[in-house]
Amino acid sequence: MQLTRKRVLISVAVVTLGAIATTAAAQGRVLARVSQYTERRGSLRTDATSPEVEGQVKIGPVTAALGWEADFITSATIPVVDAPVDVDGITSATQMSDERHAFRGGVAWEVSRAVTLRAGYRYGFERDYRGHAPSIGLSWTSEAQLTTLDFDYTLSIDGVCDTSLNDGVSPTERLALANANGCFSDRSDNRVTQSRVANLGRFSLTQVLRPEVIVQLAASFLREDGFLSSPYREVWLGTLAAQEHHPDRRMRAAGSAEVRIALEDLRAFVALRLDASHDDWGITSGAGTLSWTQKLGAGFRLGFRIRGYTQSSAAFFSDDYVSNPRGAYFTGDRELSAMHAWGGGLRLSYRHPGAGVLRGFRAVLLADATHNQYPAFRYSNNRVPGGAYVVVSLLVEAELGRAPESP
Amino acid sequence: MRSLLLIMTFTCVSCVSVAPWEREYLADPAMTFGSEEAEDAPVQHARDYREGGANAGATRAGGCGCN
Repeated sequence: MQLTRKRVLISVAVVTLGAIATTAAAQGRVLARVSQYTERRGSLRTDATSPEVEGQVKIGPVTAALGWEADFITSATIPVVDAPVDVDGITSATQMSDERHAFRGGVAWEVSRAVTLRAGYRYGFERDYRGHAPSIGLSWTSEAQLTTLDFDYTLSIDGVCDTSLNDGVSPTERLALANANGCFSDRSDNRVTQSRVANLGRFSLTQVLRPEVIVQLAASFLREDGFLSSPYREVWLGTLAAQEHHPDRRMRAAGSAEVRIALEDLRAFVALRLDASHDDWGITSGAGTLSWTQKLGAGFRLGFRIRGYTQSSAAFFSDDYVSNPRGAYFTGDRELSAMHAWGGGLRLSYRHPGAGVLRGFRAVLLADATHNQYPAFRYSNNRVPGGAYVVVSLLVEAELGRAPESP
Repeated sequence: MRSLLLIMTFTCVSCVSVAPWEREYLADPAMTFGSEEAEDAPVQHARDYREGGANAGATRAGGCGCN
């Protein structure tokens, strides 16, 4: 805990001081955010506290950014999913805690009025996970600034800790990882690193239709290869429990459409967004989000949002692999069962125009609640209670630097 | 279908005209896609782990052993 606190303080200090120092000689911004995630499902509870800082500096046509974020998680963990009838999966749950850190950096270069190139890199790590994610991007804006095309590509190369006892063992005899002790350590001979590679391409078209109407169409394609299971989950197969076994490839296509409209008479903005996706595991999902932003005056705004989500289950999902096996694969992941979610949120924001070196200031307080239902998922003989999670976050952002010199 | 989409896109592009003095609303952050990305990130991060098909346009930032 002592080491963690020191690591957090050093990260915050480096990013913040670096950003402030560089913005003294140029233009930039500093962002800090903290959020709290709280989830309840019956007696099961998960909490996560997530701080983040980011510094950005703009010198001429080049903008550089550096950031750090973390999750400090405490959660109930179910020992065996779909265990025999005499094992109560919920009351036998134990507590686990973990933390995730991610550092990121990026550069954007405005090559011309029309073209911007981007490149970035992210490194994330936990006790049982390592991930490298380089990315590149390109934006093109028409001369009249009515049409924008964006293309982004991200490559994720991850390492996931697993037990070496599973080497050369058939899937139905593999053991779940008991804990993260010894992961990524040369001194441990009972841990191995499983690889996972993800390729993500995303394309979007943003088009102004009228002075008060703008739309965006986006499409993305994601391909994941490697170890795509959770090393910790076990599934009851009749005579024993085995580590969940997912296919080693997943391909997913997704699309979205969003329209935003300014309502002059009401001093408000309304947005409607539709999302859909389909993957080769058999999951088809759809979501709709309606947002309203109301100007209150004196720099304050109040936003409302409602959202609904539904998905089908993966083809290999079953709530009982003893009586209803679904081929070669088995999963204990409730997010692969058919599920529905609905929720809404409030957002209060304040923007100040700033003065002197402080060229602008913004603060946003956000609260968002979501109710999830998993009608087909059970922990042993227990139907999983519908759960809800709440995310509360506070963000502050300051724009710093000298005002541009007059010609 | 693709041809129809392309035709619709270019039709839209060619018929729209917005004068500089009409850009007040378009310049507002509420009309800028991605302007809420930083404040929405915690909510999106939660959805990544709680919905099997959510945020299909992004890779997960990390793993988690929690159920």
